[in-house]
Amino acid sequence: MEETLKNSFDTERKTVYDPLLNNESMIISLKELRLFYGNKQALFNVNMDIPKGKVTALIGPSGCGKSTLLRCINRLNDLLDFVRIEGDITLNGESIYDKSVDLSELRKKLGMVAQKPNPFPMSIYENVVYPLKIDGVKKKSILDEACEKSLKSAGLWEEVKDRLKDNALGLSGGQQQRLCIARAIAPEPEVILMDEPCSALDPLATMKIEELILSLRGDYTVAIVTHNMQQAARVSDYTAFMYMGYLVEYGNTINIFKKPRLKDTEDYITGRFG
Amino acid sequence: MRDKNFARRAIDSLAKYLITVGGIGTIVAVLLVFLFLTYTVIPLFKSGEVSDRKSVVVSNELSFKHAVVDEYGLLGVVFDGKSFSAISMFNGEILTKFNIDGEIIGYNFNSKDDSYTISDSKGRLMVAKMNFGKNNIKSGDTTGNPNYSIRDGKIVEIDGDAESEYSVDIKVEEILQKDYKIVLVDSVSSENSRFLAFLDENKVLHIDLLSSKENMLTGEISQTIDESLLDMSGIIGGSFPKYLKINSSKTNIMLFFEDSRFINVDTKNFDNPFVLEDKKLFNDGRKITYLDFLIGRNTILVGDDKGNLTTWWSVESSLSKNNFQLTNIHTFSSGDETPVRFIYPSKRDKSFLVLNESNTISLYHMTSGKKLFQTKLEGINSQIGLMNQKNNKIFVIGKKNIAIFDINIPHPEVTFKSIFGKVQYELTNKPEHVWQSSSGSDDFEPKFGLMPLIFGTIKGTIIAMIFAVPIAIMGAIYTSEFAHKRYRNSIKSTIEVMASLPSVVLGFIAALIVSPFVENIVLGLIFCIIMIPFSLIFMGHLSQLLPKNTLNAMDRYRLLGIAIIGIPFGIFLGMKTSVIAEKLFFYGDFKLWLHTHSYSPIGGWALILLPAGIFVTMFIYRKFLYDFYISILDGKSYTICGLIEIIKFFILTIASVFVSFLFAAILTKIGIDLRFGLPVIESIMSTYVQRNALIVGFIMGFAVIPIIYTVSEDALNAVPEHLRSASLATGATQWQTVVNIILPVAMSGIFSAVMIGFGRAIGETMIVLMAAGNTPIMDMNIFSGFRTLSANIAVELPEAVIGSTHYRILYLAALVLFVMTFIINTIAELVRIRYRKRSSQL
Repeated sequence: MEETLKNSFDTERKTVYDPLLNNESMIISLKELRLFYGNKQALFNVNMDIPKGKVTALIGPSGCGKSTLLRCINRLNDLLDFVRIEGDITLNGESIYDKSVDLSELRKKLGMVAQKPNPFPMSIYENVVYPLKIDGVKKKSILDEACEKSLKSAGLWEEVKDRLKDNALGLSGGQQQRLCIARAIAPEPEVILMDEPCSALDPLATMKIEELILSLRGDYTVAIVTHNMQQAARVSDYTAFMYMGYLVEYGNTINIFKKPRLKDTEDYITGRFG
Repeated sequence: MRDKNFARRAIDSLAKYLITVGGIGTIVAVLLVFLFLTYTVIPLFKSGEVSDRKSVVVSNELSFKHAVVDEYGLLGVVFDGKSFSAISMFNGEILTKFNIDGEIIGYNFNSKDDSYTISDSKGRLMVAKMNFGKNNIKSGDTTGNPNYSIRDGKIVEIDGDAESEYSVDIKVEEILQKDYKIVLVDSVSSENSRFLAFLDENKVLHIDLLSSKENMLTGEISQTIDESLLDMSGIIGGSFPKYLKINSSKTNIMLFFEDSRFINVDTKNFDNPFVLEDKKLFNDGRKITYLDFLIGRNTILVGDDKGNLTTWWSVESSLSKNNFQLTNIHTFSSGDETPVRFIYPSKRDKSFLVLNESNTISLYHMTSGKKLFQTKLEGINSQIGLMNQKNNKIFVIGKKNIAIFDINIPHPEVTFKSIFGKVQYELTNKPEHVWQSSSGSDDFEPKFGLMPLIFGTIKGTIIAMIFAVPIAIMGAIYTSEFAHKRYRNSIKSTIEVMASLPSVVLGFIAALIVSPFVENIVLGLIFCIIMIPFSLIFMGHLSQLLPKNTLNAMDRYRLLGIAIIGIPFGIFLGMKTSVIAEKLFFYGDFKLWLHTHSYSPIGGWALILLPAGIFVTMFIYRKFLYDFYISILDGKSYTICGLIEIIKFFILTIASVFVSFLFAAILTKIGIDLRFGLPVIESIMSTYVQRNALIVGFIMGFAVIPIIYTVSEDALNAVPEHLRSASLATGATQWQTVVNIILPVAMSGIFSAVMIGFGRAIGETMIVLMAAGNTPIMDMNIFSGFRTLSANIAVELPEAVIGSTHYRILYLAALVLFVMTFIINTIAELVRIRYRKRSSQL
């Protein structure tokens, strides 16, 4: 009984959007997205548009569903057997949950960087060109070029150019994470999804990654999940605050941090809870 | 509070102690098994013991031509050319004497029944038989330290309360009376017939068959004599031969001259004997000084005047078939260059004593070529060397005294080489690996070559692995990567239940159900093995023609759907194509083709080389044609691409078949046939036997699938999830993820799974015992049986006498098996440890 009451209350909760968003051209739209882990609902009617060529940060306390939301975008949640998804997500206006969607084609457009650096146990070079190789690219010149370009974009080229054949697991944590970013941008995706990319890194490495994110802005659309609010403030153009599976407030980063419209948001960013 | 701490500490130290004891106990138990096996095996390679010389002075001076001693080495009979004298071997006293009237000219000793065939100047042919007897007078407790005395011409043994009498009864029986002098004689007797050969003074060879028949009604015994003659005076010429011998199968009568001339008379056709061979054994002028048969009348032992002993038997000539020639096989050189005076073959095994003029006595074993014992005797004018039937005493008899050695050489036939190397056994053409441990007759030469068993073990294991490894690993990949999590556990536990099937049940199924079933459809079955994967890949290609929506909607059930349609279709295709292939390449009858060597082997080669053909085709395609193919696909619609893929698939299939036929044609042209004459492995496909390696491999594959499956599934599951999702997130398909990421990471785990399966298959006993036919042959033919080390132990250990050579060699087989599995499991474990280290990095 109590549950039903809570649900009816919850569905009525409305997200507060920043009018500045209306000026942006959107690349990804989440429409009434609901996600269930078995019987437990993890996302409640999320409506959110991600602007093209900008960095959008997702913040919120642990367990609020921000990583889940991110994984919905490249359909990695499909791998989990007890997940049920309702609602829709579109990429460039096309539904990604349509039955005709080829998952590997979709994921090529959506680069992903995980929380923990996850290079493959192969050489640095092989790691970077892996997405191209599985796509059927065989010409060495193309692969070499893509490798160099991606590593340069990821700011790793100078550090590893002499040891491209070395095992990627021999790199430091920060380098590994930048390698993963290089791998994510190698197939030239439209969007890069980052799931707390700095949570396992030290401050110096974090700084480098943040610089990298800033340099990617413009060329790529970046969606980054973080629970480090300073980081969100530093790197992002827009920030979405999520709480208990709801998108609470979404808007320009400066507005969210300087003058949040809702008390919940304010409490969170001022550190009253979280 | 104090109490609680004390109890906690007590439990802690007790647990530590128990775990330590358990851990060390396990290691000790394994070591103990190893030590026990080694302990049982080691005596095989020991050289044995020989006691110091004991001397007995003979009461009367002896002169003799031959002698024989009883089983216990107590009583001897000396034949001096006129009479037989029984002497006690422990004090040299003459017990009885049996005189034969008349002048004895020819004699021959027959060790099988201790009898002499003798001929005298009056033309009489006699058989003198020494019947040694032991008579227990009193039984009672024995002390093991007997006293001997002589009473009434018998030897009395008193040992504690027990008393026994040893005696010899010499019986002389006249079997033929001729009216001419018989110079040389030999005879072989069997239950109710006697085969005689003798040469008379006119150099006519007489071959007689004496047979006696008992009339069932009257009990009257009637004797018939068949005789055929061969006048050899023209062939022999001036001198007389010195020895005449009949071989065991009575097909050859061999005459030897002092100057090493040898004449072989073939008597296969009794009425029409002819001279088969006439040659000199030695080309360097050596003379024969003594000659005798080894036990079994197959091998001739020739002693010459240079102190060498050579062994000879008839070997089929390498140039022409059915042309047997007496050939020198072994040469034993004692290092003593004085002529050989006497040779005494053991009555127990293939060893023999050689006595040289310089009083050197040597004991050799023929099969192993081992010199068991050698010594130079002083102070004795030795004439004869003897051994008793137990092979535990050597007697060297001189004119006035006897030298006695107690010997204990339990395993004369064993050397490292005779077990693991090629050995030329009696009457065979060339050295071979043979396992034949027992036979009906006493004079059998045991053949303890472990190689055929090791070969069989490896053969069975390899074929089982060829079946098991792909199925188990594919199954593991399916459950860990593709199957719905909900079904994963039930699939896994179902396969693990397979492991609990007793192997005797699998063996029973293999031997009594699968073998007779497969016998009739063998080619169809082989084609099914080829066609099922073909059909599955074909169905995969076909499914791409479905609309994308349908295909995506099918999701995981796509694989299931393909399997449900593809497997029956594959079986159907296999059966149909096998009929066509049988007509085209196997002359209409596969099994006839298998053993008709005049038929071309091209079809069989193509069948075996198909994997190689596929591999080469794919390699060429990926290396040179892939870019071209991609350029064709460029810009085409989804359905068109699907169609092009199917066409490509058919072209590649045809190309693969073509390439394998090309290889097959090359091999056929060179003249290599997979049905016979291959080095080491002999053949790949040959004569079909109902219980064969293919069936055992298939069923044994079933027995090892669960273990390979479980361990490799665990290895696949242990690949960190983040790698899987990282790969999928870059746009890789599930299959690409498996091939590029999961398999390389899990490879060492899968490798160790395969090795563990290998170890299991090597030790597997019951299935091979029941379904492999147990033929210890070295032939890789997938349609013939084999015998493994484990099955051999299971079959033969119950009948091996404890402590015997056979028994110890079976333990050696067990040790070899232990070492093989130990090495394989160690490799598997080392790989696993490396893998664990590597995966902890991820």
